[in-house]
Amino acid sequence: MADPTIQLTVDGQTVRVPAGSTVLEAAKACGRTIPTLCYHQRLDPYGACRVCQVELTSPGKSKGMLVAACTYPASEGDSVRTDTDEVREARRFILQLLLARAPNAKAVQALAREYDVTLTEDSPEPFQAYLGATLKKRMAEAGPEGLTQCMLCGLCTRVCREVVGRDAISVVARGPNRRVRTPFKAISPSCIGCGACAFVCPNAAITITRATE
Amino acid sequence: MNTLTDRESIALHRERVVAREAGKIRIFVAGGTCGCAAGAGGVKDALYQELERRGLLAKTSLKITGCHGFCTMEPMVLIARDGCLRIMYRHVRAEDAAEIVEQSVCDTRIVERLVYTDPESGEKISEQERVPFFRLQTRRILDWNDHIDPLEIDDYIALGGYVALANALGMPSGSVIETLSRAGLRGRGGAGFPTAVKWTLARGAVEQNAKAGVESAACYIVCNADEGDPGAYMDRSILEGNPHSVLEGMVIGAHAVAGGLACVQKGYVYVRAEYPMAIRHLSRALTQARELGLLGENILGSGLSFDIEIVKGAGAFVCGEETALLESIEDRIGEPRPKPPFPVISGLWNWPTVLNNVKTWASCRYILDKGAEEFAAVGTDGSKGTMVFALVGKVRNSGLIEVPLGITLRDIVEKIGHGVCDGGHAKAVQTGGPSGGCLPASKFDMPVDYSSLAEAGTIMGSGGMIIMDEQTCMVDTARYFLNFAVNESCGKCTPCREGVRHMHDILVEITAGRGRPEHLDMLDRMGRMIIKLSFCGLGKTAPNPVISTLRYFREEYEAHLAGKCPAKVCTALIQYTILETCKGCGVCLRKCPVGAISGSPRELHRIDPEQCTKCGICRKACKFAAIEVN
Repeated sequence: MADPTIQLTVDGQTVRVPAGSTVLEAAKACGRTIPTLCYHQRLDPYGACRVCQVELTSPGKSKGMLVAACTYPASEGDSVRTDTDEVREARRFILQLLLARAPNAKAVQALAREYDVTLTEDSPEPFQAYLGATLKKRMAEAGPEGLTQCMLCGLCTRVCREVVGRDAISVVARGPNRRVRTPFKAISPSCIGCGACAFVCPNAAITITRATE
Repeated sequence: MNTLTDRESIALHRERVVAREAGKIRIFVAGGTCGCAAGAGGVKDALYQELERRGLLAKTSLKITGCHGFCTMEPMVLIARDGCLRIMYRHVRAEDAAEIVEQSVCDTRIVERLVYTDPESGEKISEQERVPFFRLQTRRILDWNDHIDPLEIDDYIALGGYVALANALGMPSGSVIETLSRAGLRGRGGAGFPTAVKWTLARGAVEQNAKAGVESAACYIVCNADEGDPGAYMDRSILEGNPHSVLEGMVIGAHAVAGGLACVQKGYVYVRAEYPMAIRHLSRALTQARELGLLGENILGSGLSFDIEIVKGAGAFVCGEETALLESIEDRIGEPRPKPPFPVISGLWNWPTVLNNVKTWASCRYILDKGAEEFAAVGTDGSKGTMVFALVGKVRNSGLIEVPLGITLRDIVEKIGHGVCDGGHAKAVQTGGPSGGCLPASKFDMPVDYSSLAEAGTIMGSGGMIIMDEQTCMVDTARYFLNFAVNESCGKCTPCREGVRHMHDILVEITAGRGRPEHLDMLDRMGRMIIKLSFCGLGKTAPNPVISTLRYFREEYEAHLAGKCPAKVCTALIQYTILETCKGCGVCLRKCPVGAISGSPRELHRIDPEQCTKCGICRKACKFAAIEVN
């Protein structure tokens, strides 16, 4: 039988965790913080936002690779680095993309500040300037409050399925058109009005109103 | 139908089938989806009526087969007599049936006008084997397509079908995997993972479950037929023309991965609903295989129990990604799962699952029939065997080809493909569809194998191969593929959903003449980040068309920044003008769909640039080459 625990290092610190733990859980076990947006400890790992990138070097490998800490299983002898230049650059890229989608999402704004991400036309970084220009155009069309607060982390749809045991809301459509919706945008017949989706949303993008027949 | 109860009964059944057909003149009409679209159905009906009228039905065997591969020559008819090379007729119409029967069935003459003519020498070549398009190929997976009515299992058995399965069932499971390992077979779906390694890992997982006495343990064998690359139809043509070769490979896989172990086994073929003929032929093949006892309980007396079910995909490209495909089979939204764990360890309903492409399964059949050495006799050190490509684009002989790995792109384009249409020059070859890249003419002498293609910045992919000439704009091509990726991204992860969309938007800006110098490095950097950070294979490869064209055709991007489209494709950057040589015939004026051309008869005409939509109809219509595009 496999060893019930494994040992690895996170930022040089040795840690022993149960076999089957993710890299994120291993990092948490030794007190390292990795930013996450779509992770929730009561839900299955999802790996969608990609902000929890870390550099992982497997034993016997000379070069590390970027992995999403929330889904990647930790293995015996792994060496994890949570704050290299490459990791930081990767997280910034993800935050730039998310902020451009959902500039009013509070969770994204907070991390963006921490990672010095600002989407303005006059940013010295060409990509930020580009996103800033497109954002300004979209804001002019939609008004400052018209842009979405949803960062498509899927916490709401997953809490509904995995914790509440309903499927009252789901993601619909593909690619950039992806949205969270009730079936056919109508009052969901399986919604029990528990409010778990609104509670778990870090961006206050969901409001619960009383359904009138 | 008698059930085949042991391995020897395959050979006996084959003898019966061959004896039944012995001495007949065999007539094959190529009738894949492509052939049918070109009129193969009408040709077959006309041939049947003619044979009936002459009382020849008993002496002949008329079959509609799958695709033979030579798309530009459809509809095609082959006539085979014992001891003779097969006669090939191309561009056959129903009206030709009487003459074909009279000359080539009643007699042994050739209908000259229906014979392939070599465009260089003008030589008439009547035998299929001597036509350069076929002669230069190594057809192992495709060759049976020529002779099989895909709705008749006996046709397949007559050629030696299910011999490979009988061979495999006579070997211990480990030896089957070892045979694949010696053959050096790598996955034909795109990534090229060694098939024997995949099966070994799966067998290990199944063994572990069996050892641990896991209750109701299962193991799944899956065929990925969710072919979705634009311009690719290899997998469809194999399923349409020779479905049993895939099924046989899957049964061999079931024996290799879980033979003799306590676990429930089941197979799935995941095929797009857009492939109705493939689904029809596959369903029929499953029914017939069950009737003969080649699927079901205790196959050929070996103790192996295995059946296969068809699952129809609803047309999402991402479902070709292995874990999204599994989600879809489990009736969930087609979105990828995290890897690891890999499907061989935890796949369908968390049981070990072997997932291979259509061509990989068909190759397994070949290897267990002919042996590992025969399979590995062609190819390079790291890439053994043959690969099927859909050769399309600006090439004269477009079609389905099977070539030994290690062949050069130049041989494919110039010899098999017979060069570019309309006397142009091949500028680039695109492989791997939306996940692949474009290689320039300077790379045409490179061997086509997994590692060489990867080093050059593209991938083997599933077999799409698009030839491009000077009239293809590489920036517009990149934009086209990115648009495909934007539409087909599932939207689960941030880099693919958001990043690819921004890359696409920038390409739209560049092709519209609004590109800025900083855009090029920005595209390259974004592409590299998206490759590194995306969740699944779709996002990890989506930027390849941009990165490869930036690497090899950067000057085209720079020309666009300077306001020029060298291929004269991007409408915002080109202008149509009428030259002094205009005779004032008025053809262009009448043809212009937006009324942008004015002028009196026999006087110089003029195009109003404000109204012109740059469709190019006028230029094509002008008999005096008096319309210029700049």
